[in-house]
Amino acid sequence: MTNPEVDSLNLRVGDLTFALTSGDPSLKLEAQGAARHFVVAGGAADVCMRVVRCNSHQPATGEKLFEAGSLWQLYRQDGGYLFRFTAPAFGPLPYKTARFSGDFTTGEISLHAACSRRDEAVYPLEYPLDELLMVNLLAQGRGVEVHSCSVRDSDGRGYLFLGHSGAGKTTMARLWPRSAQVLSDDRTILRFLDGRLYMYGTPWHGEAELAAARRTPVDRIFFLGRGQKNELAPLAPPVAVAQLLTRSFLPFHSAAGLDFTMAFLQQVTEAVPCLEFRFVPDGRAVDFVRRTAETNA
Amino acid sequence: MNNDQQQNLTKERKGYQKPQVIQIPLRPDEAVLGFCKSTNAGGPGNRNICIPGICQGSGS
Repeated sequence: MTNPEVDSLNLRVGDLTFALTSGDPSLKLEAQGAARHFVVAGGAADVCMRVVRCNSHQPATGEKLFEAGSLWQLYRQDGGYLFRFTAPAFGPLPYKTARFSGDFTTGEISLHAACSRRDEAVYPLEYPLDELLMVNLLAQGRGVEVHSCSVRDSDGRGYLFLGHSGAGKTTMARLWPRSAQVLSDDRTILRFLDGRLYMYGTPWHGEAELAAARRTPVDRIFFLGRGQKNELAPLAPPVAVAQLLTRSFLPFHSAAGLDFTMAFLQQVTEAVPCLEFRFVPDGRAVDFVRRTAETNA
Repeated sequence: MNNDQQQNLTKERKGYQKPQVIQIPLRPDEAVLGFCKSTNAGGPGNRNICIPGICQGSGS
């Protein structure tokens, strides 16, 4: 017999709804940080997850598919997937595990009792599980998450600025006036809707802590770099795809997921102009971008 | 193949472009979500605070 649901939490990111339920009266669920902006009342869920607390985790069995440094490992297990989350502070045993069905639509998140306080609400999707789940869902024919700052200007034009850490995403986000809306200063989701490319804000912000729960069509894609003046350089399509790829979050364990993502990124470069943008970090960069869009350069 | 067909084929052919190899730098830790962002800290019970031992660095 399963426990009745005593607490629940629903979030919607990138038009995907995540439903978390707890059957343990001592396990209260609560979104943390910018994830609070993405909480929704309920409705049909794309992913349903049960949250439990445990005193010990079963040893991982099955094929180890991926190990990302000391933070997480992924196993193939019983036709599904098992993530184990570890940290030096807690020793070799995981402070959390998450099991998912093969299509990532159902799962169970198990929190180690020794690593959380019983009187404090928890956010079971805390980084990096939230993004790992999203990356895997998107790679199943839905879209891709990219390392980028995304801005909707006061005329409704959407600009996506891609870059690795230190490229200037947060700087660019802070340059825009309040009449524009920054959807994210660090992570953006890309999806096609009715043949048009859209970008979505995510809870996974950067230093500017800008995260908006909305989507907008993409008009231009810029690859950021610092320059002596504001200037644009066109990118050959194969180069643009490669640049996008290195700024995307990919399920490296999944050949099918990588195949889809490559094809998706090619579609992106065919749908929207992709330009290298070397910029000087002041307000003139914003005027330059907007002028470029207005003149269709 | 007659002369007209031969001429059309010649017109349609594009010049040979030698394949080029380009190197694109990767950031492995960023690419695999294998590091902790200071504002998106991983680990239990934290509220946007990095836990010593979990956070390997920061980035945005």
